[in-house]
Amino acid sequence: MPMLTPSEFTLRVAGGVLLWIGMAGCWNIMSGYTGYIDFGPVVYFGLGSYATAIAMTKYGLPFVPSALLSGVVAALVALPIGIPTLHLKGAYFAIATFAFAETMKQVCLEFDRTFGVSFFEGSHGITLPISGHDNTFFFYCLLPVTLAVLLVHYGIERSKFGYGLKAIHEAESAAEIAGVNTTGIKLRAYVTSAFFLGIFGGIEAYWITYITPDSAFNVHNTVQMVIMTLLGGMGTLLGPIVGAALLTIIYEVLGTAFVEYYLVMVGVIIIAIILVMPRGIVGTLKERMGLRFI
Amino acid sequence: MSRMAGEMTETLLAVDGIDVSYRDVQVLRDVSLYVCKGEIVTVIGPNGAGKSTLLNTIVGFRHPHKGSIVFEDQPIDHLTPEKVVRHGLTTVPEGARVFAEMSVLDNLKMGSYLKEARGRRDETLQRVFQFFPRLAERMHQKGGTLSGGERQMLAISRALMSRPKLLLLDEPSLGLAPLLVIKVFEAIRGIAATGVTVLLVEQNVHYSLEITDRAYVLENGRIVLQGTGHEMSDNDHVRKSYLAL
Repeated sequence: MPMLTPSEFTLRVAGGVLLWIGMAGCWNIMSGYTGYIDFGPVVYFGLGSYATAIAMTKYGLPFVPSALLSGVVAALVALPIGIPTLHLKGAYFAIATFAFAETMKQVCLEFDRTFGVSFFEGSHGITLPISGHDNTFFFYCLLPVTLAVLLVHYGIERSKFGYGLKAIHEAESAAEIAGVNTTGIKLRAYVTSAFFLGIFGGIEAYWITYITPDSAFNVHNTVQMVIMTLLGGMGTLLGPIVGAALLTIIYEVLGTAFVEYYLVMVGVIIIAIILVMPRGIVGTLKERMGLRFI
Repeated sequence: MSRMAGEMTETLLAVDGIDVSYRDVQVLRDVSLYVCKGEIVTVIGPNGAGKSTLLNTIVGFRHPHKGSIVFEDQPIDHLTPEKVVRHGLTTVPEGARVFAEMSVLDNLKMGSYLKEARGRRDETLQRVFQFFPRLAERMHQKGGTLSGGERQMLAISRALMSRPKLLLLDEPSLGLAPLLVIKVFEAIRGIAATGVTVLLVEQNVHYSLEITDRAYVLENGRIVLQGTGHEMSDNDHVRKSYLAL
């Protein structure tokens, strides 16, 4: 892409598409395949943003190790959070994950004031070192991470791990009795998803250069991941790619052409697609055409 | 078909005095039963007697707060279902619960999820298709598109794919047409003949007593009667309450 176009705007959009494919993919790994609707994935994105911001500004770490560290931090937090919450079913799981994301936002907001330290910087937010890098740089930062997320999908589509996840989606007790360690593989999916979300958070923070608890833990990000995946097709390899690419491009195109009405138009388009293709674009095509591995 | 009690000395499963409750409602009270290698054992009883709870407790979905469950001399009452399966027993849940979005073949593959079973998957698959040729025909169809009877066959086959020593069946005749009920019971008898021990829970007393070696009657969470299949068919209480004779 950077070789094809010199336009910084196009590269910015392309980077956004990559970011959202990756983020929707993260949600798909956990929720798309198992059917456990995670309504707080933004928490790992936010933690990643903060980990990178703090590592770079307070400890002077370079960007790449900071971003990787963000992934590790997010995964380490996901582990103790996943163990109790993954026992919850349906709406209870969604509520618990949502609540955790909101809790972490509050922690970032109030931590410094409560303990009299200067760490998360509360509502002032953190300004990261200005990178001086252009959009090409971020495009190439996002590319390997998004590819890695898609590689995980590819692995899920053809592994025992993936069969286990899908079996949980359809009949969890039957999966257990087939010998699937359901808690174990749900946790693996959850932590994997958190790891990549943490890295994305780190990259995005450095790209934007300024984060606040409200922006990093914005529930809107969660909603985007969910809608993009649903639009593309839950539990499919191509679903998050199609959904995220389509929606990001629609936002950009309509957002510039119809500044005032574009959100209404996006809403109508989403509703129309879901009505015609209730299992998402890829999910429905897969079903109608009898395709298997997409 | 009649086997002498003396031949069956090796106890495969022993349930000893278990109590099981859902919160403060006690469902099973001091339930004991045993299953010997090669037997077909049936637990009959009315709705709500605790039959499904008994099976679910044996496979580890629930845990007794009193008593013990021993399989091949190993206590299994504290294990999760996924660990219990590794010991060589599995269950066909009530209402079949096949993986609706997966193909018939993938459903069967799920049955051999465990490493030990996976090595012999193709061989087991052939055996299963011999029992239920219908499933071979429908191999690539989605599980959810099967009829009720086919679904039950698929659920039984999926359980067999894990190569269990003991197969537990929860009301396999539930909701099936009479002709299919006979077919399912014939299949169970055939499976038992290949050396798989069977513990069956049924409301369809007529057919289940016909194929069973021994039977227990479970009422209000307690075992109230036990005996051979024939003894049970002749028992006044069973005839009156369950066979309407």
